[in-house]
Amino acid sequence: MIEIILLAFIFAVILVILAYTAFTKDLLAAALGATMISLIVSIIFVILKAPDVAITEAAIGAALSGAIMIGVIVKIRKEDR
Amino acid sequence: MKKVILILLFALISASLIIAYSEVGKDFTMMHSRTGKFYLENNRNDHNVPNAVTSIVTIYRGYDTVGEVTVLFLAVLGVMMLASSIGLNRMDSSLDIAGFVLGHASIVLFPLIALFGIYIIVNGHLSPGGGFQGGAVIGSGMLMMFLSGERKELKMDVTHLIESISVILVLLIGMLGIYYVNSFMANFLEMRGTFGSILSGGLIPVIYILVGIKVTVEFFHLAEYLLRS
Repeated sequence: MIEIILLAFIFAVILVILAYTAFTKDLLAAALGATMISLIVSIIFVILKAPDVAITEAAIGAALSGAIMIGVIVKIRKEDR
Repeated sequence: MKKVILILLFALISASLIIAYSEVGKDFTMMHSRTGKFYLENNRNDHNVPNAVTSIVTIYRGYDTVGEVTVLFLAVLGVMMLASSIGLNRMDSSLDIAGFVLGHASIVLFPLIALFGIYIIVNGHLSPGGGFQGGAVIGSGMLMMFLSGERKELKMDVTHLIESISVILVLLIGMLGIYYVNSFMANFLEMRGTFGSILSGGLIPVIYILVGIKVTVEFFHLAEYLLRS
């Protein structure tokens, strides 16, 4: 019973972050929103009793993919100025 | 308008997921699939490892692991071609403004991250983890060193050689399985070790450590070719 309440709460948090990420005009804010969603989804995987998938999602989706997106955005921004 | 529809669709899918979990999650020991039951029952007798996911990834479905390694290699190849064609390496060094905190913290943090990643790779058959996960952890640590501007020059020929040799060794182990036991990537090493120690499980740690080395070097190449300054 407690797991269902936890899952519902976490999905509500994801919904709020998703709404902000989809409607913002700032590129850096969108990349950070995607990274945050990946991190919270990895917590959901632990609640669903799949620890291997949780480690993979946290390492690749949040750390690697998010850092590469932010690094490339910073490089492009320097070229514009 | 399209974004509002997509967000409502996400709310609908998450609600249905919670309803489905409240039905299935009551008793995780009742498995409805015969394949899952077969793997979980025969894992202890065949391989003597606690982690069933590792034995499925390396031995029972070893062919899929070879396909995944190929897909990762093709992705990094595409990034290398893209980076050299649009001339990303001609930009001036614009990532060296990391500042005091990131520069000095990354020097202290990177050995700890590398140690943690090696622990995840080596203990792949005892606790959740394995080659892919540990390789991604070390790879993101190397990416942190790139973003802080504190990296040293590594010889690219040696790293390309390490990546190729680990893939060739994984395929060689698979072919030896065909030669000895007549099935691809089988656990043909007869010594199993004691249950729960690092030296156990036959060929499972060997295959997973080679895959971990390959993924580590591959993520280093990804960071080097995409963010080279």
